[in-house]
Amino acid sequence: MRVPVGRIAYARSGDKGGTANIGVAARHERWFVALERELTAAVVQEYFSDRARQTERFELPNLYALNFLLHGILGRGGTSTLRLDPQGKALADALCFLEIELTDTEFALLNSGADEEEHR
Amino acid sequence: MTATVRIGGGLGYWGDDITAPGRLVRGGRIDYLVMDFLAEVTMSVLRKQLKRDPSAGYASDIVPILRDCLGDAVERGITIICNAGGMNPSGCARRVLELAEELGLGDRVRIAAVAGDDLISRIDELRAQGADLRNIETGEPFSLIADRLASANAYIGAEPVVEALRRGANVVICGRVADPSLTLAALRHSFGWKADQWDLLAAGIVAGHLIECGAHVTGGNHQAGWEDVPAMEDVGSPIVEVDSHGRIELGKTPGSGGVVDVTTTIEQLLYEIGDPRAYLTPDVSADWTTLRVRQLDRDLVEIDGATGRAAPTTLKVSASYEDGYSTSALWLYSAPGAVARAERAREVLERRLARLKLDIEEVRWDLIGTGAVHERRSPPAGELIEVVLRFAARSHHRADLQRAVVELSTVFHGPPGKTTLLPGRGRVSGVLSYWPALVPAEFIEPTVELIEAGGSR
Repeated sequence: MRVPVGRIAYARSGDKGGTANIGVAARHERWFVALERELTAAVVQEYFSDRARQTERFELPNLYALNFLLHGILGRGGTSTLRLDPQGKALADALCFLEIELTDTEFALLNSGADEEEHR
Repeated sequence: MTATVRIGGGLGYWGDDITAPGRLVRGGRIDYLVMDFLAEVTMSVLRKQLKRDPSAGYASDIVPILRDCLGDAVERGITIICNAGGMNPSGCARRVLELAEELGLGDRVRIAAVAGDDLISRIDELRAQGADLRNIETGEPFSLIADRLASANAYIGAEPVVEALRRGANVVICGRVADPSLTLAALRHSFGWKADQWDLLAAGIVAGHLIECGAHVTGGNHQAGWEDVPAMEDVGSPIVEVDSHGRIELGKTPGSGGVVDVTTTIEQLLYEIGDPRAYLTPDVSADWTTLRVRQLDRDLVEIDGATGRAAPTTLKVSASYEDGYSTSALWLYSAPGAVARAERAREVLERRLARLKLDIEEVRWDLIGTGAVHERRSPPAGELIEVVLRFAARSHHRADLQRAVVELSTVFHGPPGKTTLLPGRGRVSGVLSYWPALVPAEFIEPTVELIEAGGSR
């Protein structure tokens, strides 16, 4: 079953010149496996292919997180791009809309309310 | 030796809450107040100001901030380190001294200015020495922009700040010292960490990174759970308490709103990083992948396990150059069929602009309200009653953009239901583009100047 990234992860993005980064972290360590499996550099590059020249992915398993560098997505930087979001701050939310595939087991767990239970 | 050092991050960017540093000073039990004023784009703005007025070119918010808290900081023995100096650390430091004298604190402050990052007058010399200054993102040669350069600053590290502290400064005003290096300097000075104790330096950089965006780690801009942030109208400033082994405890101004937990910490750790195994700073290459993050108590998170490797032999240069002009315009359509009206208005303007055969390199139209920011990646909205039509354009020919702006007024010939959001005709303004480069570290010589009444030494 497909769910938006935002169901199992949170993200923050920002600018580094013409490149933007999106850090994505699993809402619970149990979701890191799915994130790492589904959210490949190729998938993210395809999603932003109208804007990004190239996407690199880095893993931070200690933080249950991934970091993406989207090269060229901000043109020549925050001061000169005509984009509405010149510093790429909204890219994190854009990525959270992307739908990824969960296994049946993962999907059942997601809907079991286990995350909310442990959050309390 | 002090068991731990407490450092407060009073400001995350120029324009941030000017009352936050005062609250930290008075209620945070801190040893150091660190404030970050500079973003990539800030330096080019400050350079423009300096060109108009040789006593300007720094982040002027430093004056109201210190007017509020310098006396209390001095009283409590708190040392202040910031990069408000921008393009003119010396001028900024002199202004701060004036303020101290006005507040009757002239003999209780020792103000240092840290500079040497501004490369604008050294470009030819650096290139002659062999620094090619090519664009590290695109590989383009520096010659493309050499005659249009607007600013060029090297990110310098903690060393000159440590030197200023060693010479007894209790207010250090820096130029483009790397944001986290301000915090590292306080720790190096307090604990005597050496410039090649890589793991400790990495811990100092992590501590600095955690607090350099102010409230962004204490519940502000909290992506993982903004709905649950308590007292968001009073989010506190971050405080790191660090021991001599580099173990960090992250908290916030006592009694403030907001939240410090594992998710706010991770969000900030992930913010604006590249390769997490090699977070490059002038001081150390820090490894984020060995960090451990653990909730200790309510609003208290432990971060340890930082490791580091030798600093790069090059420093990053943040340069900007004049890159033509741009303009933009906004119209709000608020009526049944708002999107259709805005789309028709766009068509009218597009056709009229095309007839003029203007030399405009890039035009962008957005329908704000329909998922424009995410560029159709967000789920579709239902029927909209309001939508904003936005026009933006860029050209190297100012006159062509000015002509386009005049043409935009014919939007009134189009569909009804429009509200003018901004008064008058749009402005055409100069564009500064960003040019990241590298320079060998040994070419850069940071300076420390102690500012005294009637002169410096």
